[in-house]
Amino acid sequence: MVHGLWLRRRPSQKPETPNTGPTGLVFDVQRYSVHDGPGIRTTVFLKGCPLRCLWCHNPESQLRDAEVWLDASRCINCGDCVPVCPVGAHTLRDGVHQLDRSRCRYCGRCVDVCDAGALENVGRPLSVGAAVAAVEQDRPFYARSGGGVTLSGGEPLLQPAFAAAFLAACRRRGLHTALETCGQSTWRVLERVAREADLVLYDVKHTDAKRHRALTGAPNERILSNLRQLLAAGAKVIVRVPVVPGCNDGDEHFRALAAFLRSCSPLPAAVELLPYHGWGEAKYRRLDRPYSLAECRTPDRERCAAIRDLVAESRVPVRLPDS
Amino acid sequence: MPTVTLSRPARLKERLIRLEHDRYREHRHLDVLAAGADPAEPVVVRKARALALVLREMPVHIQDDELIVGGRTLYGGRDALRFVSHQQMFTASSRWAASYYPHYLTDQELGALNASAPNSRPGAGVRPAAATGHAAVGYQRILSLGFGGLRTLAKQSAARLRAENPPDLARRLAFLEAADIALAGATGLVRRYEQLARTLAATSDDPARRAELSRIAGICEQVAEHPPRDFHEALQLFFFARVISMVESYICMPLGRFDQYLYPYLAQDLAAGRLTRADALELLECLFVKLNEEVDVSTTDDCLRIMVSGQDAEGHDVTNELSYLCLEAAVDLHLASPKVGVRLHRGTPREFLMRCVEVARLGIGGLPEIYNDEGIISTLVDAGMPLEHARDYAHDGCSEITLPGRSDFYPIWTKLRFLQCLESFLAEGAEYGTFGDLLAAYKARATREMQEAAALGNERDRILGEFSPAPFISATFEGCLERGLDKTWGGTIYNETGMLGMELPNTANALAAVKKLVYEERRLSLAELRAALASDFADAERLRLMLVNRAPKYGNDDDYVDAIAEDLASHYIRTVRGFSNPRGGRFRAGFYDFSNFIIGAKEIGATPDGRKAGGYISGNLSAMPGTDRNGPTALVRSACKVMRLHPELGAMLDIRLHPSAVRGANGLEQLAALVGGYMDLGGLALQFNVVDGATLRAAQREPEKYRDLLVRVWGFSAYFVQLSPDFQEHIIARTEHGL
Repeated sequence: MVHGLWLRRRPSQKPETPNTGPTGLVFDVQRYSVHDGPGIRTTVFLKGCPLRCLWCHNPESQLRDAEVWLDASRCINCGDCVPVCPVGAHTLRDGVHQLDRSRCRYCGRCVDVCDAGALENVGRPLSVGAAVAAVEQDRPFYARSGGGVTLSGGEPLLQPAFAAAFLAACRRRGLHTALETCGQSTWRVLERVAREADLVLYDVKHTDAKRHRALTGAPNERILSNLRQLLAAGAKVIVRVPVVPGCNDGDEHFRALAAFLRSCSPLPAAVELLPYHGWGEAKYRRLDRPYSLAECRTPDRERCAAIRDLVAESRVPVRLPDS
Repeated sequence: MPTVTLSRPARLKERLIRLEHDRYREHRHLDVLAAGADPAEPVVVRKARALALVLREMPVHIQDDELIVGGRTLYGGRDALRFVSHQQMFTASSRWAASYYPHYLTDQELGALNASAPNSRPGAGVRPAAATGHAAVGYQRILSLGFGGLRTLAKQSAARLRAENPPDLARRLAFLEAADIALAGATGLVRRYEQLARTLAATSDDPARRAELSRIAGICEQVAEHPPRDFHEALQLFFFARVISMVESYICMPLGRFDQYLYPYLAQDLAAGRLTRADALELLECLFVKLNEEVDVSTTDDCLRIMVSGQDAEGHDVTNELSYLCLEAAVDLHLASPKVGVRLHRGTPREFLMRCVEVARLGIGGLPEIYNDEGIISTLVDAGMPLEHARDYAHDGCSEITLPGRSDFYPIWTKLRFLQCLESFLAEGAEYGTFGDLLAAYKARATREMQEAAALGNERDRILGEFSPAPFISATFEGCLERGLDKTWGGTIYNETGMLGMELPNTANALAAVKKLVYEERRLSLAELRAALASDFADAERLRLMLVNRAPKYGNDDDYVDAIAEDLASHYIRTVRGFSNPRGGRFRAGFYDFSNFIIGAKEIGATPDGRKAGGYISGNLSAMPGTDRNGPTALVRSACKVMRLHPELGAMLDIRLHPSAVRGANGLEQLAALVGGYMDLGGLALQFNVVDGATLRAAQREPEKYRDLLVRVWGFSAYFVQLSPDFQEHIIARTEHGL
């Protein structure tokens, strides 16, 4: 689960120098992030995620390869993408542009010729040096707000070399670093990356293993044990808990969560509840993917307050988003 | 009447909104020559007599509930109203209140005025009783000396000048005589209010109101000539001075460092127990409502601004209780005016900073405007002003930086419209081998336009001094009475001309597109571009989209395009600084667009940033709507690159934020940090517009429900529902950061 502002930004067009260090596949560098860790932050989103949460509002973050956005409302049916496509994914049918994603190999040539801006690359390689230069831009705002840099995704732990090197480089420059992770990795990888972070935002989607698998496509045993171990290792952790009606908003789950957290030592610094919102739906359309939670609604304040009380049994401070 | 009991200020506001003050507007035709003035007298003396005539003839009214009294009540008729654009702009409100001014020029003088060079150019004319506006009147001086004290100063000065016997003695004595007539007229007006209050007190049935009216009469008696002794008297004198300066110069008159002028009186009253904080707030709100009478509320922006907080001459913070009260009153009343500006700096108490961002978050018409002391003071010092003067800056009726009571400038006279200049430059059809050649040729053309603008402005400047001096306002400015010179003759300390730089962001975008797509990627030729622009992109939508989507845009912290903006800005600032005016002052540069981004935009054809003919342009140093995609910090960084070049008149950045970006305690902290970062980066002026697009759409559909929805648009504040559809669309189209 990535809790970020979802509006897609165009990638910067300036040359990315200095070109040093490992390279990560990044799908967004979002400035003025105010919901992912303390203060004003720049969040670097890495592409690729081991989970497939039904409610994911960054569906473009899931695949480990570059993808292509299509914003059909901007398409002017000029047909320029048709001849440049090596696999015939783009066609004009009765003068109307069609994209067959099953053929697409994401080479990006169509994006290069799409002057209307309907096609966009999702995911671009970024070196550690270039990423650090990008996050340096807002240093005055971090200083004023106690903010810094957040590495998010997708799942940063799928790109451990880049993730560790990037966080370490930021830290060397005195920037506060946060890692947002779903925890679905080996302990070795988590340990290697989390070590470079001043704060870990650790997502727990469900405490029940079967439900977790049903909702995210993956089991949760390793996620929970990694969390326990991370806390034991002394990391500063904020546990983030999505609240999605009909998926993971039952009392039992939150009771179990409270019990689990209470059994950890030391306790996490806080729990943040993240009520579901449907803003990601439009993105599914632009990726031609179905969205199964179209009917889902944001949980109301009373329900969130009740959940907060349940989780507060863990004796961990529970935060609801500002309203 | 509503069933709930409203507070006094709320009742006054109710009446204001229902435009009841309209009923005491009168129209007269007055003529000082017909009234017996000697046509052989100097113009400045006759102009003062004209003012005194208005103050003598203007009907006086005191309404129920009022604690602060007075107001302009004579309107219309004056043909010198040059702000026609406001009327065009605010389609719902064509009643911009033209202050009446009697005829004071002879036919011969009128002939000479009409034959002068600027009057042969449309839109450039100077008419009788032309006002310069934008003069931050020396309220401090009025409060400490009173009208009588100023007259004494004028008399002393006349005696001293007679002894010194300078070559232009007669002219100087004429000004001092004029100032004396104007100040005596001011006293006369206040005495008329004193009389009226006494009469009303004698006839009122309500004992409480009777006591109030007697108190008002006593206050008027005191401040007719003498300095005020307490807060109420000070507010009343402040307001009379305001009314009279508006009669003399009706355009865009600011109120200066209000909390600094008035706080000593409040502090005294509070300490002596004569006044509670609640009393003070009530009085302040009575004044604020009064200030809104100066124009119809429907005309939305009368450029009425007060500045609070900041530093003293030694650099110490001067935030006081009145600074807080001003914010409180503005939030309470939710009226279009006065717009409260705040001066923030490193020593600003955290409590005040947080109060400012709390108010900003409410989204009441961009309140407060935030000014960065460090950035602005260093800019003024860079322009050669002594530090202690620079530390006393405020804004004029719009957002330009000025020194109240010390600096007088005429900003609306000269401007450089970067984009219009680019349009005509490209239309010339010359070919350039490199982008560098093209840029150099464009800048040379811009220089020529600035030279022409300065020359024309100076010609107007000279005519204004000859035919429309301003003896009352001048008397409040440091230096004028001492030297015997009207402000239009260069009487005060800093006698400047502002040249406004407009349309910079679009121009940077346009040139970036030319650089990248014509010269670097060679995706089109200059000739193809010209043809597409000439046809307004008819059959060239592809090309237009390429210009829009394939070239970097200002506001994203992208050096490719920001560097072009910096280069143009730097060229402009340096060129402007080289000009001087007939008042012995210099030209100063700033980036403001006023209504130009809608009105002026209609005059400009298609441009290489992909903008169609007549389309919107950005206002001030804000990004072109919809093109700033990297969030507010990136926008701030882009703008600060230009602001750090030290435009002395200042520059404004508008950031529109969606409520979701500023929600909760956390959102408030981030907003404060955004302001802090802006200040650290050398920003100048800043305002937030926290409002969501859905709200605005709803307001378009059901204007009745959103009558009080204030929206701030680049140095212009307005009731949203009264804006023209163009304006409404423009506001809605702006990027909503943070959602």
